[in-house]
Amino acid sequence: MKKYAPLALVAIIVAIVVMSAGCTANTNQTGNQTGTAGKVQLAGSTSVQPHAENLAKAFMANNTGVQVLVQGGGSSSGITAVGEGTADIGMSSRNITASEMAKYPDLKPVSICVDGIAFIVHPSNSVSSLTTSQARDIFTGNITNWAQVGGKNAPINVVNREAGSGTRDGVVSLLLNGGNLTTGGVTQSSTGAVRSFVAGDPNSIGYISSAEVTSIVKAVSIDGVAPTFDNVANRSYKIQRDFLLITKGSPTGLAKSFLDYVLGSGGQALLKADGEVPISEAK
Amino acid sequence: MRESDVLSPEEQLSPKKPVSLNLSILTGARVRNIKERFIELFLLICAISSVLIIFLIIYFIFSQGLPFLAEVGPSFLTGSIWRPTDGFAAGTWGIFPIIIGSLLVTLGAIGIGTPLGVACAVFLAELAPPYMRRILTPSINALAGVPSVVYGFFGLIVIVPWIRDQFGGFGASVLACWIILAIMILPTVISISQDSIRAVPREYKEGSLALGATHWQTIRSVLLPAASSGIVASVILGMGRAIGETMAVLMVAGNTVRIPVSVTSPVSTLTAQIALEMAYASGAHREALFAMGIVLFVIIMILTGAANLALRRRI
Repeated sequence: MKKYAPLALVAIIVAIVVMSAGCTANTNQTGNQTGTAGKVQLAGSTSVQPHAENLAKAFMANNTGVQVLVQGGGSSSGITAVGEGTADIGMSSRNITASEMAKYPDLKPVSICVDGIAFIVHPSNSVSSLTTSQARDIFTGNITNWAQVGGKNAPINVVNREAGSGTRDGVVSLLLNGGNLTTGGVTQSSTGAVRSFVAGDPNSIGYISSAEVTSIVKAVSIDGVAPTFDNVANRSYKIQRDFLLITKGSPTGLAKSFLDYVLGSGGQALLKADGEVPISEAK
Repeated sequence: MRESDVLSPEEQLSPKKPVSLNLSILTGARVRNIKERFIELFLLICAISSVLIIFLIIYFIFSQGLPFLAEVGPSFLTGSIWRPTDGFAAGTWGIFPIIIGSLLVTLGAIGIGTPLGVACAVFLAELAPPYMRRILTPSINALAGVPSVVYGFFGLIVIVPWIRDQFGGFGASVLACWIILAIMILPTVISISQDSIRAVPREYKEGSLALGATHWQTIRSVLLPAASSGIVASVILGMGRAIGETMAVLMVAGNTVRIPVSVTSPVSTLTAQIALEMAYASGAHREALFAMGIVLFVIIMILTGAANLALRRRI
């Protein structure tokens, strides 16, 4: 039997590890509110998702016993999920379309913040401002050289997001009016990847959420309006969209508590810290 | 020999017959006791499970993707516009540029990696002094252990800007893929080729040298042809790795769905395109990605099958 001792030891260790993995640590220290327990399921836009996750974490810290689960899938799938009842709250980075309204007539959207889409170029690029039609032509592939928009004689390297990205959908609907993005650009899979690529290529142009612009890239003005916090808040920067949380009918119960938190001072401050324009400060 | 294997005098006089389930039908071995039977059964299950897993994967991918392929038809393979979800022509499925991208990237990687790898293998097997072999062999093995995302990161930070500065364009390009993939297949090619060269019987080499050939003439005309089946096998393995490589290619290829016009053009491969779009794909888009998986699978089967066929004919 001695030779089975190591094997038995390994089996016991594995069993302990597997069992302890099933135990989750309860890190909630104090619970000020509630006495309620339950689950709120959010689903939808990947652009809203990181903010929703931060809000969920803060909400759960204040309300022990409540679980707020956030998943992505895109604005369309989020609207479908809340319409079908598989999610309590749908997240969307675009407005509900007429056909979706017809299918699920009792959807109630609530704006939680305003997000601008900034077009970024390399800091050394002499172009700092574009008109809407110039931007549209660049991203549809009709303008291919920086000299055509006032820059130096160099080809324009377009950097796209992947199909399914909320930011990409925003550009297609708001700038291109549903048109075709050029197929000649490279595709990167995240905001960070787009930003790094543009920071490294002097001839590139890409698009990211205005909240994510850092000093390694330069955001261009569209029609003379820069994508600053104030310009997005007062709606003068046109390439922007409201982030919506959608419920089926008026919100009740835990979903209502969560929505109240998001629209209250705590949630709005969190969104502002993330760089978005909270709806309380928008026009 | 363990104590339990030695029969006592009583057992030798009247041997017990093994009871019921006799695996010797399947294994051809004489089974003595329950312990051995269980071990053989366990090994059999392991072997069958690997076959089962590969068939399950094939079945799953084909069941998800074949209906889509049947619906869209040959324009899936020959069309050049890939527009899954947005734009005026949303729902256009054409992956011809992506197929070309995969093949181009693989062939280039083999084209660069094979000469380098075989040359390194020859050096290590025939020409290197022992101290150099002691330094080089662990380094090459370390190359094999580097995760592909680290290769991709290295490519993104070092190779892509270098290509952009030297040749212009995006930087993320066919050339970047070739360089990174060639480096990734080097350890495979080197170690297997080296083993094949070492496995050539000494008499071949000694006979060649005795007949007056120089060392290089011996290597070129005797050792390499004799080791050729192993070298080709290593190239096939390298090719399998190159065509299936996802993460590194995703980061340095540019993922542009257009047939590349030069080595500095960005390119899209089947693996990278699937990885890029899989996360948020739903409905028809998701089925299209499974169909791409089928195409990739078929291409890999064809390439490795053809290579194995060529290998068998040489012997």
